[in-house]
Amino acid sequence: MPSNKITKKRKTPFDAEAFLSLINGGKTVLKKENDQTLFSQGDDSDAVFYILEGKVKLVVVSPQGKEAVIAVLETGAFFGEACLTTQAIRIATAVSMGETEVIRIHKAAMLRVLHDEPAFSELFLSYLLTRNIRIEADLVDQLFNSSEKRLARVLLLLAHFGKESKTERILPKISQETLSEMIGTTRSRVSFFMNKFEKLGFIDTNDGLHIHSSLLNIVLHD
Amino acid sequence: MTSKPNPSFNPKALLTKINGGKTLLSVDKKHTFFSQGDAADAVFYLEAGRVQLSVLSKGGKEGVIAVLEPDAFFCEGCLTTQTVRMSTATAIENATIVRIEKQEMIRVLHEDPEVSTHFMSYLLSRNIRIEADLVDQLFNSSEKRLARVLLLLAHFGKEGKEEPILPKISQETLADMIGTTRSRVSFFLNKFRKMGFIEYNGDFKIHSSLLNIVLHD
Repeated sequence: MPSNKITKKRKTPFDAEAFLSLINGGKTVLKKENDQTLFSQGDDSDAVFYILEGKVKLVVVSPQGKEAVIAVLETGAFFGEACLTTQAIRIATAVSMGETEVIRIHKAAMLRVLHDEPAFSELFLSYLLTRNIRIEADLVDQLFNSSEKRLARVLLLLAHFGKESKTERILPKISQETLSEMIGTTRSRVSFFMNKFEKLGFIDTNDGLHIHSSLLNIVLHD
Repeated sequence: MTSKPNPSFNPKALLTKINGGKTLLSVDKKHTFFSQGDAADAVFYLEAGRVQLSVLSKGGKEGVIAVLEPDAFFCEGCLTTQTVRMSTATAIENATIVRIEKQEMIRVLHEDPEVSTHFMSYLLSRNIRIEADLVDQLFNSSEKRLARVLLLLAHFGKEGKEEPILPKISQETLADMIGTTRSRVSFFLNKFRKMGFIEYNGDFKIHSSLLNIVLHD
């Protein structure tokens, strides 16, 4: 893992909402409970989504039925943006994690606002750049690191370590299945490492999942 | 906005819109544009040739995260708050590139909707590709990953753009791209050749039958 100092601060995370409010037709606000599907792998891809509140995971299922979580996105993130290219079909399934509120923006409406509002298009560009950096880092992590390191990294990122003043030491509920699908291993390996991290005092699972900065040791040292 | 560059968009026009702060470079194979850890102060646009982005782990393992083809941008990470290069960019064949100072790129993106549309469509297609690479790592065996990378390098799936004969690419690079060892790559290449999926004498010729490795178990 190269230097982990990717800063993911967006200067004004909620500006997007102001622009999205300019869209007249082709926009719907959706409220979802935990674990509801927003779109499924293989569906026609004709809208972009923006998370107003909550979390959404993107899950890919292999032909053999193995699941992988390719992203856990948070408030202020877009998803389904691949429909803006020639990709006509969803390559992943989007599922809400906890109560979530999203805006669904029809492809044509999104293209229009990107075209008409240069400031929005700049904001969206910077989102794409940040997202690409993160996926590239995930890929590097897969190429290089053990599943133990990958688990520690994902926990630290979920707790926003490295984002100044945004660290959330207590993680919202996330299942061991989801963690195992995020890092490409089995649930039992995740359980094994979580127990190990807890014994070493890096995490604490009483009353929510507490992440201590000492967990950085797993990522930083060999 | 499409993943294919807009045919009416002439990348050369992009370059004419940039006044100061750009440099045209023609480099030989193996030229390093910048190294992991260098200060990130410019974006690059690849006009001709191919460029590899590689990352070195602390343990000294090398991973190739991209082999870029003409009309790609690289090091666009510097447009965010990323101030240091996350990877090393090396020409894997003679290449022509344009180096655009960060400030100048930000200015032209800000002022020229045509450039920013083109750049956005590049980012979206790059985003799709990296995501697919990640899925491939999460799911597939090294044999399938090798078959997939060969098919992608030969542009299978891009109508009318298939190039069954690959430009020279070393077994080391292939190994670094899929996260395995050179000897595994050599083993699978021999297997693919025996099965008639590829021809390999220094250059590769890829047959569409190689798709069998990717599509079936």
